Amino acid sequence: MDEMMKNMPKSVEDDEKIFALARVNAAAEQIGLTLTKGQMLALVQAEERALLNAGRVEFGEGVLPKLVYAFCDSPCIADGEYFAVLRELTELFYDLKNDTDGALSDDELVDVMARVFNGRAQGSVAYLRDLSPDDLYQMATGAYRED
Amino acid sequence: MARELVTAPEAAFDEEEQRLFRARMWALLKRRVRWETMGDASSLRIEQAEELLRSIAFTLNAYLQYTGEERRVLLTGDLNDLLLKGQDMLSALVRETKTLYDEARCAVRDFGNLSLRDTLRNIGGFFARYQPLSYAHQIPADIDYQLSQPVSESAEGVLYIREYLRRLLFENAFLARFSQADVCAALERYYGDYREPLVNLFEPVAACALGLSILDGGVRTLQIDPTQLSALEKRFQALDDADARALLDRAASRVLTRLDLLTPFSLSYLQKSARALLPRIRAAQSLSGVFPTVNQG
Repeated sequence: MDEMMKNMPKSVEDDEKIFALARVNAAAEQIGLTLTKGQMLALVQAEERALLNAGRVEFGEGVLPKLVYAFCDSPCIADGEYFAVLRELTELFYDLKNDTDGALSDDELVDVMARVFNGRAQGSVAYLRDLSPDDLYQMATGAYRED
Repeated sequence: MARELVTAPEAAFDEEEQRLFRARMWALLKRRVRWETMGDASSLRIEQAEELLRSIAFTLNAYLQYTGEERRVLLTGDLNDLLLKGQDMLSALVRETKTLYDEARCAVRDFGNLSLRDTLRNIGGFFARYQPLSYAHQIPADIDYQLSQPVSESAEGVLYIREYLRRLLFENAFLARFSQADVCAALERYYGDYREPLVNLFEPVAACALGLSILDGGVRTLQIDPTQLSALEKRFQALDDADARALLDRAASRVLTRLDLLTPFSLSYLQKSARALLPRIRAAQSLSGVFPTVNQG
């Protein structure tokens, strides 16, 4: 990493990320799956690692609040799997951001991930991972046609 | 130049001020990322973020350089406002540089040199591809033709192109003071083939004019014969390096005066090119490799 970037401060401190996540998690309590405080901290740390692995830098609160909001009422996630699935989805999100190269906004990407996960993927993160960027883009825009 | 902004204030500011400066730059980068992604993404590839940060640093540095404002304004002023002013300034420089380029396209003679011809054409593409708001430090153009005095590698963006064109226009103005036939003859004596290789057209002609000036000959002839070459060898052998440099400096001034090209810029440029001859003069077995010489008989 460039020297300039290395010395830059974090955009949003972990506390603020956990607070943002906790807000969404509290709202999700009424309708679906929830996370413990320890799980939220672990997810924030996992997101840091996912960003590093994907070679990306985050300038906002991160994608976790959006993922929690999109997946908290998923019929394809059992209570005991919620934390692990979110961790996988976080990593997958940043990989897909690279693969789609800005063609989809964060909201569009999270939306199509949730639709496919709950639909044809039947709860399989691996299925999502195997989709090509073109397929994903077409699914996001409604242009996808199965052969 | 982008690095000067970060490293120079890093040296000038104390530790606390450095932290403050980095925090302000980061906040500005965040704002640029939002603008760049239209709010659609909150993360970027590291390389892309680095490029945006370099662009910000370059723009702010260029603004400080041109306005003469103190670097402390980076700690106390509205950085976004400074950035916008810097971008306006760069946009004006782009227009100014385009004018220089239009002048170069009309005026510069390439003498059939492919590298110069291609470079002139490629610089035209710069104006279509340059993005001063997001990637102001980049130089989206292939510049192959080597000037006698290259633009510093630390120059970036439109500032590099502007300075390159300025120097190229001087070199061309110098060559234009001589007949095309005499220039081509001098180039052929010096290089043999001067059309295909990556060679500078100005240097051999300048060397010839300088040599003739030292000998009090007519600089416009561009012809140094073996007798004159021998006189030049004796002259330089009798001088130490300091006196030889002074001789070359004076010759540069006389040449430019005779060609009606004397300005502070042209004098500095030709003197640097003249001084660059000295190591070659000292190392050469024969000065015919330094001053293009006509064969006699």
